[in-house]
Amino acid sequence: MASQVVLQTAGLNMVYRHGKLAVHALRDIELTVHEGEFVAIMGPSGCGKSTLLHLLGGLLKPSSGDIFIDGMNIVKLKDRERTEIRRKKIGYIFQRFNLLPTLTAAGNLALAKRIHGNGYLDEKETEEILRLLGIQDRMDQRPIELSGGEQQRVAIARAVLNKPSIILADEPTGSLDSTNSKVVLRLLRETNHHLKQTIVMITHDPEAAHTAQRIIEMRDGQIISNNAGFYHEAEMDGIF
Amino acid sequence: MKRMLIANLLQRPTRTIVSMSAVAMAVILILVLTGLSHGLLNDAARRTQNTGADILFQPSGASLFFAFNTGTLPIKLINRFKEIPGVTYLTPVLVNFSVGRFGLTFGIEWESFNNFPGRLHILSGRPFQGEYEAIIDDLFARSNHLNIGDTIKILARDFKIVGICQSGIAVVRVFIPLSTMQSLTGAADKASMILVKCQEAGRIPAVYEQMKREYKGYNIVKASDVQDLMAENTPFLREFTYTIIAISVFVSFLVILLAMYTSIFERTREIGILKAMGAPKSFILSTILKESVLLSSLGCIAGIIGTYVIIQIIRIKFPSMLIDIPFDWHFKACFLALLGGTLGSLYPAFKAASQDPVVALSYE
Ligand SMILES: Nc1ncnc2c1ncn2[C@@H]1O[C@H](COP(=O)(O)OP(=O)(O)O)[C@@H](O)[C@H]1O
Ligand SMILES: [Mg+2]
Repeated sequence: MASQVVLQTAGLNMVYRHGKLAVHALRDIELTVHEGEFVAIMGPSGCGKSTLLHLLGGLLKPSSGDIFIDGMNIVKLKDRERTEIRRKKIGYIFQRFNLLPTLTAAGNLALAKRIHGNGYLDEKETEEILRLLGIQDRMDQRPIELSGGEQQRVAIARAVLNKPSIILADEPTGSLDSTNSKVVLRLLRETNHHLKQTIVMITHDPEAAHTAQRIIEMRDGQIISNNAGFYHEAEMDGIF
Repeated sequence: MKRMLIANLLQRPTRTIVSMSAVAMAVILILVLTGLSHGLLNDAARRTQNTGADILFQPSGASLFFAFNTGTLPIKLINRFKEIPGVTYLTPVLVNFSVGRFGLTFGIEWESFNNFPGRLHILSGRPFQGEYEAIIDDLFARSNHLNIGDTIKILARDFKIVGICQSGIAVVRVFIPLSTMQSLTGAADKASMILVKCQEAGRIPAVYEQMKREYKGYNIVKASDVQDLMAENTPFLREFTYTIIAISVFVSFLVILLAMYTSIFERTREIGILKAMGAPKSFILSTILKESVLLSSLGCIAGIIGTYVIIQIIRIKFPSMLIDIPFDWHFKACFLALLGGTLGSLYPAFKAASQDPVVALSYE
């Protein structure tokens, strides 16, 4: 694969300490993700998936090791600079409660736009994404007035509208029924395809994982398998 | 972001109303208290100024409230003052204070005292001619059911009431001849103060300066300064006012602190999301600060409205209580309440801004 490396970790370790208690959440993680890739991370609860995702987005500092985003070692950066990287290059989607409850869907997107400033999609592109996500008519609703699926779609819109190069999703379909899960996964794949965004997605659901080009399996803070594979071009052609 | 600010205030209406009310209370306390103390001083000052004197000449250490003054000023001074250019009228006054009875009694020299604009307006009866004759004001007459021809005891002597005058001069209700008071108090040829009237307002400063220069060690006060001097010299009024102001500011500080502190706990998840979106610390900090400034501002507006409601009630219930809020204090009170509120939100704002995003995100 000749495409560029956007995410890379080297000798990544994470130990949570609470007084005398230490939890070794990640051990020597070596991971490389290329531009435009769609990677799924699987593994049992507590194996360190979320920790890894938080580290990749610079929300956490590792106990040791390096994390490169577009070749820049974010571990060496100051807090403020890491925030800046996150703002410019990363879009997060969580399992639920992604949106600010006091704002409407439109308000949530406007807030994101305000935080991101430049580099945001223009009106027409935004319209297009909202239509693609099927939420253009739901923009005046507040999160509690939206279904779980709709909330996730707004969260996806918010994560992609800034055109970040990397989308980090922590069980985005974890609290959705299978119909809504399928929709959300399809949308993730479409944005991945259309906007050339790199996606790293945590999931418990093998079917969801098979949407991805590559599945990374973790256990006890380690990567135990790293398979290219289930993302058939032929299948893709069928969908689009 | 306006929408988010307003949404947050509406989201928690009880918190909003309670913290607004606390800030409003602070503003009301500050304004009503300064209004009352200014009203009180203005009233006292107005009554002093009502004598119509331009300058008050008193022994050193004398009080502007006249109550505790002793007669130690030689009346001879008047002859020297007459030579000061610009002085037209002079009159000596001997003051006696009797606790509980009728407060101040002025011993006055009928002729010279009535040269002053604040002369006694006799409503009925006549000026005093004999030694043991008194003039009282109409308020005193009415409240004590006294009439012309009645006698009252002053300095252990019976005085016959010969005239009733209009009330309003200083806080004085009773007047007797200066010479009588001098002999009764053993202060022959002495006075408590000398009132000075100048030819025209423009000459007051020059007369004042000359007196200051020539009579060191005396208490010489321009009538126009009386109010400020009273404010300075009134025991504890300033301290009391400042204490109440400090408490008010502290109350708005505490309430906003508590309100913002609890609300950042409720918003832990939101703060985590903002951080995940790449919102810098300054964004979160300013969001919290803006919210508390908005909250405090609304409280200030409510406080000013509340102040006028309370003043109206006081005016109806206690018409004799004078409330006089200096215009600039509206701004000062709001500024102080806002300051308290903003300081109160600083700690929660910093706490929110430095919250660990990962902990915040696992908070559901
Ligand atoms: N903030 C934290 N403090 C202490 N231990 C933590 C913290 N977050 C996660 N852990 C521990 O680290 C391990 C990995 O957690 P996590 O990354 O959330 O796993 P996963 O997302 O795969 O379920 C778990 O044992 C968890 O208890
Ligand atoms: Mg997890």
